[in-house]
Amino acid sequence: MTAVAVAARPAVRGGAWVVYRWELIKLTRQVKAQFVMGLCLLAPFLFVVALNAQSNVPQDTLFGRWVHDTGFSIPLVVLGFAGQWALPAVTSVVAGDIFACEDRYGTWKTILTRSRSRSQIFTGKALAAMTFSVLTTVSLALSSLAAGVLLVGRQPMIGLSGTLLAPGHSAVLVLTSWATVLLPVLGFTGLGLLLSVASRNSVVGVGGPVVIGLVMQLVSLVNAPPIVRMLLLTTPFGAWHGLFTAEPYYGPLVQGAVVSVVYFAVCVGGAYALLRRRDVTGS
Amino acid sequence: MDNARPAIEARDLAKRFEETVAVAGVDLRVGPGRVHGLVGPNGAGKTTLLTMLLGLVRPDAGSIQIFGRDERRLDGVGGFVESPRFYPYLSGRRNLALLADLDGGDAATRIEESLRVAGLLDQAGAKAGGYSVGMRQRLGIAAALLRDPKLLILDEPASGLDPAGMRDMRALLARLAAEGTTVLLSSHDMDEVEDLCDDVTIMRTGRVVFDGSMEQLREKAPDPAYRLSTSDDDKAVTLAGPGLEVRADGDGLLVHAQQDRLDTYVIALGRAGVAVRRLELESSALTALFFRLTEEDA
Amino acid sequence: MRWGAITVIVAVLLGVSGCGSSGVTNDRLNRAVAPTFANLYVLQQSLRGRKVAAASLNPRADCGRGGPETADSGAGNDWSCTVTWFNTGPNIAVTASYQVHVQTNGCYTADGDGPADLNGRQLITAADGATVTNPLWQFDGCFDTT
Repeated sequence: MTAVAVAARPAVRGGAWVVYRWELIKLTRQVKAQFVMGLCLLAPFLFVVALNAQSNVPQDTLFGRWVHDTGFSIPLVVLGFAGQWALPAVTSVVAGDIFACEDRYGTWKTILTRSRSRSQIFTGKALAAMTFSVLTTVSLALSSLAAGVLLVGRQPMIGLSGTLLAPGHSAVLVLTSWATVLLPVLGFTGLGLLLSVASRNSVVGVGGPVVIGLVMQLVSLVNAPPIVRMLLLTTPFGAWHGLFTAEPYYGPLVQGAVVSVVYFAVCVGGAYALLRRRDVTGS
Repeated sequence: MDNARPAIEARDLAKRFEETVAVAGVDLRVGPGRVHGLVGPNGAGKTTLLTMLLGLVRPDAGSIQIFGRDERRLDGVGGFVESPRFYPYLSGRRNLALLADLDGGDAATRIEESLRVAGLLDQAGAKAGGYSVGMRQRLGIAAALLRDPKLLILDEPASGLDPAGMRDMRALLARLAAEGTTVLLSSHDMDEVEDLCDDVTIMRTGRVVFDGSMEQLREKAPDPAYRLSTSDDDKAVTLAGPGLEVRADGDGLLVHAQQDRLDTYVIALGRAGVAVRRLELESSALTALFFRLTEEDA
Repeated sequence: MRWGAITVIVAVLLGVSGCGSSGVTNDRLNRAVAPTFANLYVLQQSLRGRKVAAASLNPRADCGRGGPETADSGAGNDWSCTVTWFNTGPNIAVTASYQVHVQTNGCYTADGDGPADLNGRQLITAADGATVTNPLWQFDGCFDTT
């Protein structure tokens, strides 16, 4: 009995880009994507307005004590919250559903019998999910920076070594910090994609990364050996702290980058392998 | 049968899902320009076979060549398995636009024409989520036609259609066949296949029990079966002459005979004082053969 | 092929982890708290109208956790630090105390624990008469745990 290799359908010119374009079109028509993006643009402003209305400060977030003193603390406080659960949730809203929705609508057999190979369809969808993750993260970063600067001000900020950071320098550090979390964001996107393909179920795909993120948060609060903390995908969300000391340290950033990339590669690779081998029966 | 390269040449295909053997050692040869029927009861493996031809399912064993090409490209092949599904939040037309883009080439120029041929121009702007089963079947045909196919692979194309829809579907397929398109369609209804198909393959529990042209099948067919009830069934059985097969089953008598022998029999019954109370066609010759091939133990 | 990839991944992770070093130690906390305190002291003194050179302070921090039986490592809210620096001259050492809560990620919050006029009150009066937050009353910082 000879096993037959399913030959990949030869690539058509234009390849995955057509799939990518249509996935973005479909995304822009989905209420949940519109809602999440709107939230990322609006929520920081609402947050600052709420803060300004009272004199308390967030106690357990880094830079929380400065929210009335400098606008540059706002994006860092938002970053502190967001890394805990908001960013994994925002990314998995799309990544966790983008493959499972084809199972929900029964449309795998429709799109797999056209002139695109499974690789191209996978790549287009993965890129669309990654685009959404990056856009929402960037939106959150820019809108929280804008909210801070516009509603609180551009005052200099006290860094993590007690030194004063000039407004221009603070802005650069804030944007750099947000940029560093793009890697773990993509890691969680990969996780959402894997769960979406493996479970064929949107609830698992969307809820899974959130639950995993929360569990990882809990584990990171415990005094465990450093290797355990290093393997958690939530740790890189805090790697930016080292940018704000008088003598910046980059160890957590390097580790975080490597771990995020490994998670991404393993998850996306796994998702791809599962999709390629899947039998799409008619029902 | 011409010697031209067959549209589909599949050898020794096998597929099992966990404990169930769906397809076991099936050969299929579909000649170019022919309409080929794939018939069998539910669970015979027709859909599994079609999904393997369309590249959706990996065969465990065997080879498939479409238009002589081993790589099983789907160039020039269109079709669907089980009821076609679309994105419910996009209109019919937008769904086709998406599929045309996935096809590349000039498929996008064929959207309106495919909608017209499938009879969906009026409803093309409505969201596909609101389509009836029949409209979805038509959209499936339109989606297949976008690819300007030389080979159409259709799984139960008339299912879910009302009689008018079925008639339109058969007319459409006949026209496509007349224009030279090869059609492979599956069905569980032998009569439907008889109207339309040049060749037929009959499957049962994953194996082929008949493969050949419609003429060959008709030659093998037994006499049609008629349902008969009389005033005296026992006497009627004894009066059966040559060329006639009369059996009592729970619901009266089952008579297998050609038309002329049946006429002779009815007249003989009347002369013998047995009144005919009910006489109707139970199943056509081909359907009777189909049941024999797929239900009785070999 | 698959096993090869797994081996590479594990090797990379181990290489990056610097295995063996444990995250939160009193040594790292000392080296983080001392200069932070010094910079904030300079800031506080400048708010009060007095100019101090950070370099002249020569700060040192001595941090420990819980009682003598507790190991001086790991996250917790029972850390305490004593900061020593040279205030008015190279021979006159002054100390201040802090209760410190250290998290597993190397970030800490130090709560002033005396002397009262240095770090005991949240608000102080600046040189121009305004009431400002005392930067030495409570401060945050982070250090590298890798």
